[in-house]
Amino acid sequence: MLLLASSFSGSSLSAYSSPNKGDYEAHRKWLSLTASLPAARWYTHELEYWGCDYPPLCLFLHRALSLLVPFVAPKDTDLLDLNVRGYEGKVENLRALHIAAEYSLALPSLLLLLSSEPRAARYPLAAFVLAAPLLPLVDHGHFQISNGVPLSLTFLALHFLSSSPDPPPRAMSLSAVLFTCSLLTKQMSLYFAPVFFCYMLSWSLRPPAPSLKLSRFLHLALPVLATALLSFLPFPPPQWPHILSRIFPFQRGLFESKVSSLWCALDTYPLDVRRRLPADELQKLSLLATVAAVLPACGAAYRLASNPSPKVPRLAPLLRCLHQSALSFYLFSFHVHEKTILFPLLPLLLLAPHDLPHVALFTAAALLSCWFLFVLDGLETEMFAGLIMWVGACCLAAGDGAFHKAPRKRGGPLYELLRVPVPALAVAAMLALVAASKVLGAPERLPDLYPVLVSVAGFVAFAAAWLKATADVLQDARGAGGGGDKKSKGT
Amino acid sequence: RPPPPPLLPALLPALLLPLSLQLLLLSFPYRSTDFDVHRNWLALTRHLPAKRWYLDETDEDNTLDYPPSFAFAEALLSNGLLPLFPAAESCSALVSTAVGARIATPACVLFQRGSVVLSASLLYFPACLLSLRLLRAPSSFLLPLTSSFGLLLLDHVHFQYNAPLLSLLLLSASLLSPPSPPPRSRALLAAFLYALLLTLKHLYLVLAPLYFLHLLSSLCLPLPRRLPDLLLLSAVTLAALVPPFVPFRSCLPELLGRLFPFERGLTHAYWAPNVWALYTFLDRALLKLSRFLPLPTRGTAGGGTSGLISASGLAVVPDVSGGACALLILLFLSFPLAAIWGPRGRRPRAFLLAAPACAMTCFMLGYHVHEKAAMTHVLLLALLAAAEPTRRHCGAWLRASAVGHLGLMPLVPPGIVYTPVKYALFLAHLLLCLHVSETAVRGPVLSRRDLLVALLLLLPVFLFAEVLHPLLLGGREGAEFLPLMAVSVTLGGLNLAVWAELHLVPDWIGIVPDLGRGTAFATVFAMCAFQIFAKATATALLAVTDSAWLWYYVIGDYGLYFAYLVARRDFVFFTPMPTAASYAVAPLFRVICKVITDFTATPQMRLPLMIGGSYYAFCLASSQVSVFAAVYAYTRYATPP
Repeated sequence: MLLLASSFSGSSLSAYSSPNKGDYEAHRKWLSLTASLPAARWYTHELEYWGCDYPPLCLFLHRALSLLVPFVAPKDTDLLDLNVRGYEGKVENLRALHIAAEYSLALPSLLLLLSSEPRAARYPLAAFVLAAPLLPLVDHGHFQISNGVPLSLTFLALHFLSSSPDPPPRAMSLSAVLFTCSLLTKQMSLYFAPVFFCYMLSWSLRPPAPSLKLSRFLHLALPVLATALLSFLPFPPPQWPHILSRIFPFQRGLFESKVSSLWCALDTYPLDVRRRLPADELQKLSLLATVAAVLPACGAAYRLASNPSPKVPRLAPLLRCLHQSALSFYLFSFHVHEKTILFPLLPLLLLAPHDLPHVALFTAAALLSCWFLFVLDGLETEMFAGLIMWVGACCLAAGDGAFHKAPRKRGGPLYELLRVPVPALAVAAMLALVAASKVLGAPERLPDLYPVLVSVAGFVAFAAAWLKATADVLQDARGAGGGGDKKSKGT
Repeated sequence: RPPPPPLLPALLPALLLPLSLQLLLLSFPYRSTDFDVHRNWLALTRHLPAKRWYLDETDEDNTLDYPPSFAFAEALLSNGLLPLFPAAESCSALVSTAVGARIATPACVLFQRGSVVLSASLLYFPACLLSLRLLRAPSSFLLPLTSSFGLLLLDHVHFQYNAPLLSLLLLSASLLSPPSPPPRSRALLAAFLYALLLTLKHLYLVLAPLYFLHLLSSLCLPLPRRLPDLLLLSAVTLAALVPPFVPFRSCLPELLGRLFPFERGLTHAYWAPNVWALYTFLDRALLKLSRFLPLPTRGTAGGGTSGLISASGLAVVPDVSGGACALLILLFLSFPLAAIWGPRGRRPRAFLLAAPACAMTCFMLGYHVHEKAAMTHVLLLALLAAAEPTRRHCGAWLRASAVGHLGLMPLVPPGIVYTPVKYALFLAHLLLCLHVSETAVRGPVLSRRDLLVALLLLLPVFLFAEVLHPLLLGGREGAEFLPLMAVSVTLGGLNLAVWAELHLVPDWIGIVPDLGRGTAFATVFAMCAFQIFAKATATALLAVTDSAWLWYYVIGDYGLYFAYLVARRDFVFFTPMPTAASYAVAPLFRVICKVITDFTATPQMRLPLMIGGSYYAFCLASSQVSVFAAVYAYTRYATPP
C-alpha cells in the first residue's frame, strides 16, 4: 500500500512532467493513420516518414485509442490530422491517453498475476514493480506505449500458465492466445517465446494417454493460429511478407546506438567485430549464440511443465526462466535497442522478495544503461529523480517484511560474487561515468567515449546477471526434474 | 527515560522519495501568480535599498506584503545565490506587472523552483527529523511529514515558501512538548523561534495567544518569584521581534498597512472552506429565494467568488466585521486555552494538544482566510499524531489533512495534466498517512462513516468540480463559480465536524461510550425520548384513571426519594449558603433535580452532587415499569368518559 502510493504518483508524474517528444511523432502519426485510412493502406502509407514497423495488434490499439480522442481532447484537431508534420502543440493529450490505456491494463494484470501471494505481500510487491523508474520513462517520457501493453499481456498469459500445477486445457488456450496477442503487439515479446513454447510443448506431451496429447496440442495450436490469422486478416494477403519484413528489419544492423549487448562490447576499439566479420556471418553467429544461451531456460521450463507435483512452485521458476531467456536475447541477438532491457527487467522485478539487492542493482544498471538515450530526449532530471526514487523505494522495501520471504541459500563464492559485488561495481562505474560526462564533457577526438564506456560497464553488469540467472535456472531444472523422477519411481 | 526510537532506517526513503517528487515537479507546467510575486521581491531586494522595499510600486500588483525577515531572506537569495546563475539573471529585473509576467525564462523558473527545493531540503527535512527526535516519536512518521501533499502542491506547484516557515513552527512546537516538561532553555528557544517566525510571515499570529498563555503559565508563574524568567522571556522575544523592523523605522506606517490590508473582505476569492464559506453560501441561497419570499436585501451583492481580491458584499444576512470575527475567535479560543492554563498546562503534551485546536479555530472563523492556512493545523495535528499515536489523534489528523488538502485543489485548475497529477499525489499521500497511522495504532483508524463520506459526498462533488463541470458547463455564463462553491461548502461542513472533534474529545457522551459521534447522539436522543414518553404517558394515564392515585404515587415516590437522601446523609444541596438557608432551599433543589431526571433522563444528573448514579438508574427503571403499571390500571379501573 505504502509503496503503491509513492510509486504510482511518481510514475505518473515522471510521465507528465517530462518535456520531450521522443517517439511521440511516430505514435501520433499512427493514431492519425489508423483513424483516417483503411487497414489495407496502413503498412504502405508514407514508409519514409515514420512508416509502421509494429505488428498489427499495436495498430488496432491505436485505432481504438483514436476513437477515444474526441472525448479526451475535443479541441485538439491536429492529433488526428494525417497531414500534420512535426506537431508542435501539446503532447499532454496523447500522453494522458497512453497512460490511461497502459495502467488500466497493467494494474489488473499485475494484481492478477500476484493473486497467489498473500495479501500483505501483494500490494507492496505490485507497488515495487511500478516504482521501477524505467518503464514509465520509456513509455511516457521517451513515448513508447508499446512496452507496457505487451508486457502486461505476457503477465496475464503467465498467470493462466502458472496458476495450477496441471492447468486445464481451456486455461492453457487462453494463455497461448494472450501470449500471441503480446507477440502481435510488439515483436520483442519473442524474447519470452522460447520459455512459453517449451512449457506448453512439455505440457501437451505429459504422460497421460496419447489421444489426449493430440487434443492438448490442438488446444494450443488452433487458438494461436486463429489469433494470428484474425489479426492479419484486415490486410490483403499479398502484403503479408512485406509486413513481416517491416516488423523484422534484418537490414538495420547488428545493434542500434550504444547498447550494452555482447556485440556492442565486442565492437570496441581493439576488437572491432563489425569490421572484421561480414554482416551475414555476424547474423548467423548471433543467432547461434542466442539459441545456445536460451537453452537452459528452455530446458528448465520443459522439465517444470513435465512435473505435475503440486509441491513444486511455478511462478518463481517461470519468472526466472523468462528473465534468463529475455536477457539472453538482449545480450546475444541481432539488432537490439537499449530500451529492450525492459523485457528482462520486468520478470526480475517480480522476483524481488527472493533477492532484493540483486534486483535493485540490476534495475539501477538498466536505468543507467539507457542514460544517454534519455539525455537525447532531455529527460536528465527525470532520470535522476527516478534513480533517487528507486533508491528510496528499495530502502522502504528493505524495511518491509514482505520482501524477506525465504532465507536464501548461499551459493558458491563465484555465484555470490556475480550476485552483488560485480553488478554493484558496474553500477558504481556507470554512475561515475555519467557524472564525469556531465562534469568533464567528452574529449574532442572521442565524442562517444562515455556512452561506449557506460555500455561496456552495463554489459559487465548484465553478463554477471546472465551468468547468475543461468545458474538459477539450471538449479531450478535440476530441482523440478528431481521431483519428477521421484514421482515416477514411486508410481 | 526510554531511549529514542531509531530514525536511521526511515531516514533515507523519507529524504529521497520527496526529493525525487520535487525534482519531477521542477518542470511542471503550471505555476500561479505567486511566482511573479516572489520574482518581483527578488528584484526589489536586488536593486533597491531596504528603505524603499515597502514603498516601491513599480510592479503594482506584486508589492511586498510579508514581514521584514522574509524580505531579508529574499535579499539573501537575490544577492547571494542569484549571481551564481547568470542565465537566471533576468529574474531580478525591476519592471511592471505586465512586463514581469513575460520575462520569466525557463532558467529563471528553474532558479526559483530550485530555491524552493533547496530550502525544503536544507531546512524542512532536518526540522522534521529534529522535531520527531524531540518528541520521541516513531520514525515512521517522518515520511508523511516530509512528503506532505499540501506542501508539495503549495510550494512546488503553486509556488510559495511554506516549508521553511513551517519548519520553524514545527521545531518550536516540539521544543515545548517533549514527553517530560521542557527545561527553561528549551522554552526560551521555542519562544525565540516563534517570534522569528512572526517576522517571516504574520499569518502565524493566530497562535500568539496560545504561546503567550502557555509560556506565561509554565515559565513565569507565580510571578513575584519567577520575575527573572519573565524578564528573560520578554528579552528573548523582543530580540527576535524588533531588529528586523529597525531598518524600516522610517516607513513603519506603510509597512503595517501592507501587512494588514483590512479592506479585503470576509472571504478570500476562493472561499476558504470555513464557517464564512457556509455563511456566504447561506446568503447566496437566501438571495436566490428572495425572489419568492419577502426578504430584505441590500443591493451590494457582488461575485463572492469572482476570482478577484475584493470586498464581497453579503446581500441578505448581516455583514460580519473584522472585529466581530476577532471576538468570535477569542470566544472559541477560550476552550483550548483554558485547557493549558494553570496546572493542566504542565502536562507533558499540553501545548501540542491545544495548538491544532487554536490554529483551526482561527482558520474556521478568521477574517479573509486563505485555504492555504489549513496547512498549519494539518501539520500540527501530524506532530500530535506522531507524538501520541492513538486512534483519536491519528483519526483527527487523517480527517483534517484529507479535508484541508482537498481544499487546496482549486489552486491548480482542472486539466488533462493537472487533475490526474494532483489527485494521484493526494491519494498517495493519504494512503501513506493511513498506512503509517494504522501501523502505529495497531488497528483501524478510520471508521466506515469516513469511507461513506468519502464515497458518497466527496467523490461526487469533486467529480463534478474537476471533470463534469469543465466538460459540460465549461463556457456557460454564470456557472463558472459553481464548482468552487460546491467544493468550499462541502469542505466547510466537513471542516466544521473536524473542528468540533478537536474541541470536544470526551470518552463518553452522556452514558454512552463514544462509539462515534452520530451513534452516541442517536442513542442518547432515543433514551431521552423514551423517558419523556414513558413518564408523560404514565402520569397522564394515572391522572385520567383516578387523580387521587396519582397523588398517592407522587407522594410515595418523593417520600422514598427523601428517605434515601436522608439515609445517605446527602439532604443538603451543595449551594454555598448559610446552614439554615441551605436546609431551607434543599427540598426545592432536590425536587427540581428529580423532576428533571424523571421527565428527561438528562445524563448530567448522574453526577454525585446531583442525584447520583444508582438513584438515576432506579429513576429510569421505575419510570419504564410505571408505564406498564399505569396502562394496567387504566384498562382495569378507568371509567370510560
